[in-house]
Amino acid sequence: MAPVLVQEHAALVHGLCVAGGIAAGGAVLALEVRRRGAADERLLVVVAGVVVGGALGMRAAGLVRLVQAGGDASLLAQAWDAGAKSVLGGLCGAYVGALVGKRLAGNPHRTGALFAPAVALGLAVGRVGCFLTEPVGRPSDLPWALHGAHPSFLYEIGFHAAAFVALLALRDRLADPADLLVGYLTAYALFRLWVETTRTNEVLVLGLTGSQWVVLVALPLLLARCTRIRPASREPREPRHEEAVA
Amino acid sequence: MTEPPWAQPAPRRFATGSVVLGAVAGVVGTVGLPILLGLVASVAGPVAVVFGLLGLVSVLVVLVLGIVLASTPGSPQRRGFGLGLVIGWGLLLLLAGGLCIALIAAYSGG
Repeated sequence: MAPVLVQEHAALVHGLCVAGGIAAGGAVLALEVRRRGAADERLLVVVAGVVVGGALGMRAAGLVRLVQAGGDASLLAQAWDAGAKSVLGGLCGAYVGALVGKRLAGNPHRTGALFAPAVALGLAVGRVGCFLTEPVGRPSDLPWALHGAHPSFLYEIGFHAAAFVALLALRDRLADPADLLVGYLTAYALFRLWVETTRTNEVLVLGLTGSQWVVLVALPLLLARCTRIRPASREPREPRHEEAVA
Repeated sequence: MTEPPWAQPAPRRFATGSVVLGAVAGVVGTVGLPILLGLVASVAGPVAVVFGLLGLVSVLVVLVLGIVLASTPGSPQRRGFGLGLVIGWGLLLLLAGGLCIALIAAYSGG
């Protein structure tokens, strides 16, 4: 049995870390909106779509586990609880929610540049709750093993923290800044394929976990989308009006 | 001299302050309504089942109310409040999974 670091009040600790992640992500989103001058009330509808879609996506992932268990209603509480920890379900739901929100608000602009750094930081913080309250990982004898197991959530926290720094560094270097989100999600999908091998998630078919199967479905679409990412033009920018006048 | 119609800014649909207020109300309402109806059910005697069922249904009341307020014609304050209710409902759903289980376990144990 893989060790769990915090067993007392685990749900509360996890909930507080998720709340911290949401607060951190929300703050980064607000700063990025301000920095890019993208404040537009239609964005509020997109945010509503992201929040509701993310929440429903997470819970839906929990229900998938219930179906796997043969629809046993006595496991409903466990399925609900599991749905509070599904990052992939949340990301898929939030993505669909953003598309629906943009459609409803009549917002034709891509919003990935605003959300990418916020999601990365939010997940880095929120995953601390998973690290503390879930089985840390599969057995390992590596020097950095924690209680004889892979610190799998620390790997993931490190990935999202590094991605956050990289996204900040790259945010003005793409021809279409919204591609930041595509690049980040693709990198996360590839990383998740590997990190699942260090986690204690149940193997479903052909030696792969449910999360790995979800990633394998999404990855070709993301990689195809990545082929359209272009760096920003290095041509000298045109002088601003006030510079030209001066 | 009046500006031509295309030069005037588009009318506001959502008042930002109302969105924040609605989000807080959404969180409080999504938690509070089921608890309130649950408490009523616990003292309602023969009609307790009705209030219990209403308590379950009430989890969706805030979301439905928010969608109706935000999507129907009305002042920016009213529409903003509705959008805030939707955001608050989603935030609570994101946060409350584990906390709900903890509460249920605590009440069952107590």
